[in-house]
Amino acid sequence: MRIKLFGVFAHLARASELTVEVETPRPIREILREVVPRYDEFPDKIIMVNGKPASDETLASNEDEIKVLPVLSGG
Amino acid sequence: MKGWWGKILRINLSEGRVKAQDYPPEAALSFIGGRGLAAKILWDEVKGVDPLGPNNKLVFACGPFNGLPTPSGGKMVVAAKSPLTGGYGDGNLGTMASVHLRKAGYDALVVEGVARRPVYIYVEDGNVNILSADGLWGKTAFEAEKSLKEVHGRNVGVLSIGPGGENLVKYAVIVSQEGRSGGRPGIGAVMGSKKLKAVVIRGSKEIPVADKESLTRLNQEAYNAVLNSPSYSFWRRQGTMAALEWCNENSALPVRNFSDGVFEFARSIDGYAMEGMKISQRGCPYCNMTCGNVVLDAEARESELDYENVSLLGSNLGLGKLNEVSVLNRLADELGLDSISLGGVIGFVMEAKERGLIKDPEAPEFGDFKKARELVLNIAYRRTDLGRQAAEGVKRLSERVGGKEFAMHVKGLEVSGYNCFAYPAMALAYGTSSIGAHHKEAWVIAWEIGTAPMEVERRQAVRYSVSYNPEKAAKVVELQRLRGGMYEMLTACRLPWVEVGLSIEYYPRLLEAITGVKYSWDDIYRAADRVYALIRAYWVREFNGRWGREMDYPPERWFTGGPKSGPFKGQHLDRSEYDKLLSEYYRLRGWDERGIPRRETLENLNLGFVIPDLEKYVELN
Repeated sequence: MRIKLFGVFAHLARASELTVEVETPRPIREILREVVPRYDEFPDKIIMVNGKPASDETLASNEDEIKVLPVLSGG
Repeated sequence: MKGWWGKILRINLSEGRVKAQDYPPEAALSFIGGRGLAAKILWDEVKGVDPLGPNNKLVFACGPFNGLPTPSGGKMVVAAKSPLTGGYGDGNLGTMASVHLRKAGYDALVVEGVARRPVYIYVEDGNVNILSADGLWGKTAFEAEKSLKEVHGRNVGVLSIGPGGENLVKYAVIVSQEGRSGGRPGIGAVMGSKKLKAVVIRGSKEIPVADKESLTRLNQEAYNAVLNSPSYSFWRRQGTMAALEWCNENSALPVRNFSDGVFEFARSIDGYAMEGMKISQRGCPYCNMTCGNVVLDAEARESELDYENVSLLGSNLGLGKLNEVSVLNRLADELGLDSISLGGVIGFVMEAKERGLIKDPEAPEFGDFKKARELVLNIAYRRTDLGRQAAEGVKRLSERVGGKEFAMHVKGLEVSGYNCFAYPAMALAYGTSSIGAHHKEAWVIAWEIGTAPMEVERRQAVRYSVSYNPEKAAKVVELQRLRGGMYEMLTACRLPWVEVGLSIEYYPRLLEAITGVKYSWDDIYRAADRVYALIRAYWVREFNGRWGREMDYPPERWFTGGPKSGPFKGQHLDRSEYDKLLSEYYRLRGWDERGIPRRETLENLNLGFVIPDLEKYVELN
């Protein structure tokens, strides 16, 4: 699957785009925990799967495109 | 009383009179400080006056957090009846003047009357002098502060206006420390109307605190929590500038006078582009997550950037070079103009030019940096016909040249950096903000995109659509209670909580350590609701009761057309759905269908004193 990371998530993962292979569909949270250090310390985040709002409990497979954005305050 | 001095310094410039006035402890307990105190003073004392006349009052209000070691607690509220909107106007800025005002022994400074010649005020604890500013008048805010510090030393807090305030530009702000500014709805113009160039404060007293040991411990804990946050290191890199990429990704960026939400040159003006230009970082007192990113602009001068000014003076004007955007931003700061409203006004001029409503050859088109730069100067100095008209703000300008359908304001205050074709909750936040279209009170858009409940069909299909849900109104109220209420009363910066996740539970605990008064969350929410109802009553009274729910509508543009590109292309808000959200908001607030607080609500919030006056203008439900 293709993972696009924004803001602090890209900073922590040291990458803005990643490709991850999974054998069977896995919850997005499990994948992001491996990719983004301290991922669990973020109570809120915006997750999109194939352009659709989702949660990090959603199962994702290799064909999916995932976007992970932080929740900002806007100053 | 601990934590509050219970004293307001009052200065009448017409008479040259100075007085330290006690105010009742009940007012401190009920309104806490900052915005709460300012709203109470304006309700009691500033009624039916010309905002730029001698009877308007300029309020500099602090809260219990100020002058004490608290997380990012170096803020101050500046307030007055607004010359831009005609209603309640305020803003906050981080400044050493907040620290010094409190250390001088006051919770607030109120300036009234008009000086005959330009003056500045110098406060040193109990000594107050009104001094000539003849030699400062005409200088930029940066130059004025520099000169004043040469005379009074560096250990002072300085608040000043630039030529924008002197020339009564309706969206002039008050500036401090080369880049901090506050008072979007023309509070700088009110200061200019009083011929007051600057306020310089030096305080040396110890603020009485209920439990100093707890305060020190809690502050240290909070300070460390900020440093250890997983968001901290990226925050230090980009600060609020990270929002540019974020908004562009979510079709929420203001592009070419809000006609679009996605900018083709976003990458050239975003946080990453800024990082490549950054030379230093500035911030407010008592802050360990400073957010002022300083870059060198196209004229080799320092300019302090954040998201709001880059989006409004960049993508909103079709400008894709960050060093040019930085020039406009630095000029706004030096001249004492609000960068958000300035970007809104110039964006409107550009679209009016494109549509043939403005034919002036001096008017810039989208993407024209040179003419935009010239227009900034013409606005600040009120020269040329276009400059004078643009100095009046988008609402008045659109009434004069036409184009109300693309005039981006609420209640006369220009919209800040979020384009809401697809975001009804954020539109509601703009519609119901206490001062007009400002985001600080309820930045609900991230919640709306990421976590708001979605209609079933939206869950199932890959489809971008506008989603309404009554919970959105509840979320706006919740955020207003915290951001527009608690933080504005304390007076503290909300960014440690919202940006790096500092636990919000620190705030009532810190408040108790400072004042000795235990505020439950219910008490804080009630205080916030009291302030919102009082500010709403103020608007209704100052509009002579000519008030209806349409005052809480977002700009017409968001109900028609939709963005020109991106996944939300062509989608826009629906008026009847928005109306339903607005009614739900009123119901939660205890306001009637006109948006006026009900009698019972006012009584429950201990605002009974408002009723007799308000009833002279409207019948209360």
